Amino acid sequence: MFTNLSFTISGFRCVYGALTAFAWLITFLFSLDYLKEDKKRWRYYLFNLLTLVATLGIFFAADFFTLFLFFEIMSFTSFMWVLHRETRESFYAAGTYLAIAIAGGLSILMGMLLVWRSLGTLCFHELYEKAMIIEDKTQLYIAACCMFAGFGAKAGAFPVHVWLPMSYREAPAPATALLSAILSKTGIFGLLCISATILPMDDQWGFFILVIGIITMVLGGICGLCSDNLKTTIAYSSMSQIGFILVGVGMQGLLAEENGLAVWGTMLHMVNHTFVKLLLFLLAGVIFAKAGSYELNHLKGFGKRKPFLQLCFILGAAGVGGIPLLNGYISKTLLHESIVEYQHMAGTGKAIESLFLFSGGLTLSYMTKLYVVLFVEKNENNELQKQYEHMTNYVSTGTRITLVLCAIPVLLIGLLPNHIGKWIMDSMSELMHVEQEMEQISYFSLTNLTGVVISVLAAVVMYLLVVKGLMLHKKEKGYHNPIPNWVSMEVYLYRDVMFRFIPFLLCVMARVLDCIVDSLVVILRKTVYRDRALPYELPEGNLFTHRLAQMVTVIHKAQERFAHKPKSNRNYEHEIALKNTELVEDMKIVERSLSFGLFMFCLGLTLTLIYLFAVN
Amino acid sequence: MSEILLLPIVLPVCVGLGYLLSPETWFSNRKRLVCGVGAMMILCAICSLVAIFGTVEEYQLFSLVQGITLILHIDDLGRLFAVVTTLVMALVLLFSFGYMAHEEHEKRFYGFYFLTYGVLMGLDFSGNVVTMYLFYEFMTLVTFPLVLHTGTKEAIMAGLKYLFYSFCGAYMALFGIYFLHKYADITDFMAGGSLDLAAVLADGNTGFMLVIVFLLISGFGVKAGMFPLHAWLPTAHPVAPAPASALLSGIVVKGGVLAIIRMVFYVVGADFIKGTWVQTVWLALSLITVLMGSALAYKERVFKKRLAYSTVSNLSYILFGLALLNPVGMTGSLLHVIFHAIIKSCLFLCAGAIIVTTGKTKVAELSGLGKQMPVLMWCFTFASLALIGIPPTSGVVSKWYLCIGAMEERISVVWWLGPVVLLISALLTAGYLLPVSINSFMGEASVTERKEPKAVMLIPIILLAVLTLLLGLYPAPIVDFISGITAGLM
Repeated sequence: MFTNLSFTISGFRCVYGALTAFAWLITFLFSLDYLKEDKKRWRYYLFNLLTLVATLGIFFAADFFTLFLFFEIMSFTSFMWVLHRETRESFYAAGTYLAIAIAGGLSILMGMLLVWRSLGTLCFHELYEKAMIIEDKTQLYIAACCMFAGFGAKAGAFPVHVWLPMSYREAPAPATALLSAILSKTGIFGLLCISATILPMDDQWGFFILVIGIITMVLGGICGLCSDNLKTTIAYSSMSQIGFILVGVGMQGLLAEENGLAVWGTMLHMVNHTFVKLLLFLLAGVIFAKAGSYELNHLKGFGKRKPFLQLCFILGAAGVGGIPLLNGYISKTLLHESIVEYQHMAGTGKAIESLFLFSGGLTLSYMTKLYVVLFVEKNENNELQKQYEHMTNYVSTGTRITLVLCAIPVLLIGLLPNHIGKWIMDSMSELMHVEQEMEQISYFSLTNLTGVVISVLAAVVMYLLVVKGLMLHKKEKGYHNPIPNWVSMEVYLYRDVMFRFIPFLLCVMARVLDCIVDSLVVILRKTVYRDRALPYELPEGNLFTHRLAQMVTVIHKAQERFAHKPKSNRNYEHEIALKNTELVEDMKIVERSLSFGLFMFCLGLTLTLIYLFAVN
Repeated sequence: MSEILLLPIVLPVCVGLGYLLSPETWFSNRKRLVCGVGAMMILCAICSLVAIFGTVEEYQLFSLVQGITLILHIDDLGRLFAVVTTLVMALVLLFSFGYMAHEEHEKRFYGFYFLTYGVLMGLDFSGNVVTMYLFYEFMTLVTFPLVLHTGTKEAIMAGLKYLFYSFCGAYMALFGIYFLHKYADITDFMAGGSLDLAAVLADGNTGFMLVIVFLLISGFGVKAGMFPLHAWLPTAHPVAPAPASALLSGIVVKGGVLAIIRMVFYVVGADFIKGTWVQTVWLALSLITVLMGSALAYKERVFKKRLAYSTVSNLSYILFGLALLNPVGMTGSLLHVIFHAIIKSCLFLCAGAIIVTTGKTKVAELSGLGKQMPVLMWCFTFASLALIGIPPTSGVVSKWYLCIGAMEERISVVWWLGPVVLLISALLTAGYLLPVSINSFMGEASVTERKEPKAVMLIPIILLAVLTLLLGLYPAPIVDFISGITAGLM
């Protein structure tokens, strides 16, 4: 039950295996250029390959245990990406990354144990059959929530997303691209496995994921819009898109048998996000390599006279933003339609739909923000602007090719949704046991285009409101993040509560338990077994004589000082202790003497008499 | 030829006594001493392996009094412990050639080391309660000088504390054995126990016998660091020389575990205490210890003491698995016995190598050490990962079985509380071990020049670290072997 690792291959796994290989190849080619000067590049390549092995292991796993095993390996090897630069910030980010990865991993283990207990297996296809007939699902819900903590953390879902912005910012650009394009999908894959095997078509699980997805989607969008850093913006965009995917996963559960649209939308959005984020993070890497910073204020006007960069960026940004004729539009439309379908079943559908469209608007607005900064506005620093404009040789041919390779699928899927898109969705959707046939969907119908129009309107409003209204300071020039620093869940909730407060409580309790027997021994030695002095015990006398001697000494010193008494070095402690010993011995003699015995005898006799009187 | 069972016990004891009694001047040349000790160890180890894998199963020593004989008997459980003991003892001895060069009275150390080896073999091979108790007491006595080896006041106080706790526990157990004598067969170990349940019931002594069993468990549990009598562990480990702490933590404390297994599964029988308050209290105490040990290790600043608290916690993983009283849980326990012996001796040897090479004892001082001694710190990292239970290292295998065993239980809360506590403890383990290795590799280094410990210290550490990894990758043979042992007991 333990030692066998099992692997399987199927449509979804094939597609993601191929995408993983593609992404690794692309980032490797990119990093040849990007890390040319880096002394630690061999370490990076080593851990890069190890992570590749682990990632493929995850996608080809045929049971939860194999999945878990490779998931843990992946967490540890990718940890070295975050730590790569070895600066203070990367230390901090990597610490959070690792802590969340380990806690998440253990949480997955707990979930697996619960699944094992209630279904007796961890193998995916057996799980599906057994889960369909199980009556009491309580344990499975708990198991799924436990696993969510681990898989969701890797995906970047609220509330376990805290590691994401920092780690994405600190890792080198090709590693960030992989983190966002592939590693986040391993988390999603884990969640899909839960949806597909232990809780198939379950509406409660679906609702849970839906709520999480909506929060992630909106929160990611807002944070992305408010960020004043290029890479952080894209990182939050990643989080927001994961939110979209999670909404799809949630819809799969809620729509039960009619979940075809949701499944197709989810799958396609995963693939789209992979391509788009590869493109965008690599672009960010190109910019960083030349400009040396991710700060928007520093990057203002960087893209002037750089048509290739501009084209790639537009493809990426518009692709993820859901502009028709590009890939994001197709998957978002499918997700949108699944939500519309859900409206027929429940009243909350309307609210979900508007939040969905609003988030689509947020995506567009933060991408517009980046576009305006990079390609429209001019830098305040004229020299820098000149420097930027004369930077013609900003990207090598090899890098150009990698970028183009990422950009082509964005166009292809967008232009040929009923061919390439359909093929991808068809091959991937077997994972979710979809029984519906995929019909021709008219992606460019009026209703679907209306959704885009609403999103664009929302984008314009949000852009004007947040970027023009809040981010651009009147006094200090440039962009500033309007969200104050202290609104960071990471610092207050996780660091303090998890690392300080809870361990502190545990330790106080543990310390008390630890000392029980030792203090008992000390007490015994102080009371019953007084034969040996404890290390801190007085050489002679007891505490009373010691204090008394101290007082007498103080009085004597005072007398010497103020009453001009002659000096003397009398050792009061010794004298008083002697007196005490004499006293104790006298008492002992008295105790042993005949008269004392007689006295006690009399006392006893008297008591007896009183007792007799009292009784009679 | 049945005397061959005697050889792995008598030979090390004779060698040890020889070293102790011979005058110091014979060994003024250190090289000669070390070569001699090494050769003797190889000889002893070969003898042990011949006895372990031989065909001889039983040897009767002599009768103490009428009806009570000392018997050496070898079964699969004994084999398991004996192999682990031999492996760890040999590697730790190799390490101590490097370490003890910096300490005084090296000859005395080796003398007691061999005595310990012989006594431990005796404990593993003992065939009845009396023999086991005898070797158990000897074990305390011969490891006591290892603890106070340095001879500082602190070491002596710690040694006395160790002695006090151990005897306290042993007498509790002895008290239990006296009463057990009436209903159970203490002249032989029998898989499944030999307690005469009918007689106990007929005399109406069930409640009393439960108390007796509890005394036995908590008495032998002292050696295994079970709350509340665990306090000797964190005191004794830091003051002892590193090889001695590795030995204590890796092997000697497992003597307590072995004694508990023998008493509970071979004399009393698991059925007698299953579902009674004894099992409940035992489970509760072990879970408390798991959490307490990890939490204290998390806050501890002295490196070796941190490892000692970690031992407290990990030993109770083993006890928890035993307390579940089901085959799967016990499989997890025995797996953890092996893995923990290897991992923890590796960690203690790392700590020792660091102390000898740099003189650093506090956790905070270890920052940047990975640049100075990368090989050592990588070994430390692998052992740490194994202790946390990160796949594919070995620790995850035993934890998996422990958790599965707990999940099989129908005892009200234990089925979920047990795994949760184990996992929280694993999280704390990550919290107290990983920052050490991360800081050592990434932190600011005072010395960046490469300076690994001597090869004689590094090799055993590397071997142990590789072993943790290999056993995690191919646990199947060991798991099968152990499943064979546990299946026959319940």
